[in-house]
Amino acid sequence: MKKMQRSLSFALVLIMMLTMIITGCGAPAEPAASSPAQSASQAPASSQAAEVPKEQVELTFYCVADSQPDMQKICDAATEYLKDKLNVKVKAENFGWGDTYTPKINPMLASGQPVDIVFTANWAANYRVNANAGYFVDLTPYLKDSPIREIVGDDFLNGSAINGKNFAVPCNKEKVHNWGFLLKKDLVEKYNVDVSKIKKMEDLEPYFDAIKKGEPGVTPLLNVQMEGPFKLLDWDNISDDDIPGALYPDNRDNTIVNQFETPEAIAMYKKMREYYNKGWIHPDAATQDNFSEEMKTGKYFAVVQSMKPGKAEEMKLSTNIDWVQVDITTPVMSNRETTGALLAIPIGSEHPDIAFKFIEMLYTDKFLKNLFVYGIEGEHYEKVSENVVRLTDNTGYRAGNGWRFGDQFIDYLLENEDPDKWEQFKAYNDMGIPMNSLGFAFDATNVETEIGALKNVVQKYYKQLFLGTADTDSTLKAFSEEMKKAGVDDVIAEMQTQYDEWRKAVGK
Amino acid sequence: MNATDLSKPRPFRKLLKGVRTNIAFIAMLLPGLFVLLINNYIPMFGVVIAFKRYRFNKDFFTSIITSEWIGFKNFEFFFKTPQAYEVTRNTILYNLVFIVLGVVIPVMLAIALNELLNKKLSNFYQSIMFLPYFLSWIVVSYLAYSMLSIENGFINRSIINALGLESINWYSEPRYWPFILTFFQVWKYTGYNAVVYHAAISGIDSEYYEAAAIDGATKWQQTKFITIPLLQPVIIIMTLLAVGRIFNADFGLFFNVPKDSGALYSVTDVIDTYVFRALRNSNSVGMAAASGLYQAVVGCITVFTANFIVRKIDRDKALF
Repeated sequence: MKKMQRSLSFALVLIMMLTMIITGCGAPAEPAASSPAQSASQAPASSQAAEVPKEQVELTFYCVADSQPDMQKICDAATEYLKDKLNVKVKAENFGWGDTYTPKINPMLASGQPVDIVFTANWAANYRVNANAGYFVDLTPYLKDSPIREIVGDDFLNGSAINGKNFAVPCNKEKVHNWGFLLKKDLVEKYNVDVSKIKKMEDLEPYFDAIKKGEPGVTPLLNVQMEGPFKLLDWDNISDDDIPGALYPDNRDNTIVNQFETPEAIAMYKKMREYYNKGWIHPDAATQDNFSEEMKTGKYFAVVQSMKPGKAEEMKLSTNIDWVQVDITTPVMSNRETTGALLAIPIGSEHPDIAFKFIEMLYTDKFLKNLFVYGIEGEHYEKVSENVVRLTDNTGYRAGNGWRFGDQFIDYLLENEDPDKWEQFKAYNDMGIPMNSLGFAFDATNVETEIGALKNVVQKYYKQLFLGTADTDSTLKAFSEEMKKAGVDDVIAEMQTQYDEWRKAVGK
Repeated sequence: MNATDLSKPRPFRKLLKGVRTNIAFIAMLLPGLFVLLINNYIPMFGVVIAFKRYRFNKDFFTSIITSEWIGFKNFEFFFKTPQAYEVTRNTILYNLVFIVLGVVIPVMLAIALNELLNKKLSNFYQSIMFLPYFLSWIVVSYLAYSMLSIENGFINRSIINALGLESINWYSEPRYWPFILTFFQVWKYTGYNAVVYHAAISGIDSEYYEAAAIDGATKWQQTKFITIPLLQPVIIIMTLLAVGRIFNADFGLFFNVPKDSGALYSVTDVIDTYVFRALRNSNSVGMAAASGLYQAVVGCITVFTANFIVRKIDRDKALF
């Protein structure tokens, strides 16, 4: 009996150990980089003269946007097209937006995987942090006499540089931003919303009320995670959106404040609480986690978005819903834009030269650029005229969002879009007020601990406040106390010191 | 000379002899040992990352070597935070409850299953109970959501509203969550544990029961004086293994089931979710390694302590 017990327990231990081995592989993965990457300082092949490499190499290109069923077809088409140009086998993939994209890309960077091109920004794959940590190839020598310099312009290239070095190439798109609402067109017509009279969020309240009463199943205002009316305050954030520290967006002074505790923010929290209680915000708002999917359901009347000319038409492509655009805030040019969409070459890339040429082609080659935006001609879209396309019923490729890479100004226009969209873009770009902080990059090394803690505090409280799902006063009180304990004052002081030094250095 | 000749190689010869007699067992051990080495021991080299400011340089191994040493700075982020106490408390308390319930309920079920005369039915029940074990936490989280959501949740809609009461905002009310989380944990793992205990009970010699029955022992007495004492070693092993992971919370449960609702963090946040959230968007490899190392070291200490205590009480029943 004893013996049997022993062998049984031994077997159990073995099973347990096996399960642990199988499931417990959370340890750092083996490095994938087989050959050391070319060092960043190595000068790129100086001549742009297209000499086609003899051997076909694989080129991986990871980007934001929802994953598309027909991605493989697009890759095959690109490979075919590039055969006598770069001779690369394109392997492109989309990994969703910021919150799902970042945790996929960061480990790839940290383990040095041989990825050739990644999308990065202040809201995805932590451009600044990763560039500072040395995960991206320094592209300054490549950009020296690349056509990209002319296309993007020095203001943007310098604005996105870190200590004078370009670790990523900004995409050529609108250079300013403002915030506003997209309203669902059928409801705008049904309720006779006079769009020209809407100047602030409060102007929409009567319609929210009418829609709540008259449209069962429709929620007046979409408010998910950070994507909601809080954005209308348009803080010029010093670091990430979930880290305290921001400037007012009107250049009123150079004092960094905790944007979550300003009177404007508190008024917004109260407003949201009121809306939530009235049922204008979805009752399950606190647990919704996919803004773009919610938007696509068509069960919302108003959605807060960053605006630009033709935004409503552009969003039709990815949501398949007709929208009406209502601008609320004034356009500004801030660090949000200069680092809003960039392409970088990770240090693990085995052929950065070819990768850079590919990036360059996204700025100069109309066919390649539109392939990744609209898909394959005749399959996913058809041409109406030289520059205008119509989408087919095939939804296998609806990536859209041409601002994600390259030069958006060479994109085809959709039938419903204004033919002078790109002229409007240029006019819009001139309208923006440059923020005092434009070009300032905060280095978080000294307060890394505090920032790690603060991120958690903000994550814990912001939803209750931004979405109005809990009592404002008591939540805010607890929020402030915990931020204090987590060292918010030190972080803001550090930001202020760095910002003042930077201002002195650049003479602002 | 003769003397040294004899004394020196003796241990070696003894070892050689041991190897020769046990060659079959050693051969059986090798593949497992190999896997253990590759998966668990070689990556342990990465522990040094916890003490470094990780900066990428050429490849992963070079980066580890060339990164700057910063001592215990990576550990600070966890201990400095106001929530450190809360998440540690949650982790330990939940795990304690899970350990206790993970023994009591499955053992009761295993005994009940064993008493079933219809073996087919017993197998059927076992399979049904085993099913949740194979569901991922993501699936379970949506199952929970379909129960608890305010607008369409089954409980709010079909029970609470039907009784004419106001909907409960489950995802904003921390007080319900210790029970909800415990419920789902038990629901998911009971089947698995019950199978383990059922297997152990099946292995008990039926002569014991026959003898007891002849002596007039009731079912309860048989359970109390035969089944449970003979199950004890298995229970101890399972418990010790669970104790070793007392600082590692079940990430899937705590992250997915509460839907990352900030209002619930005071009762749902555990070390793993806390660290994940702090590091998810900052790509700080060093801090992630530091928190992993901290959990491993503390877990190791707890398992040795628990084993030490068991050995003090009954030497035979200790794990090692």
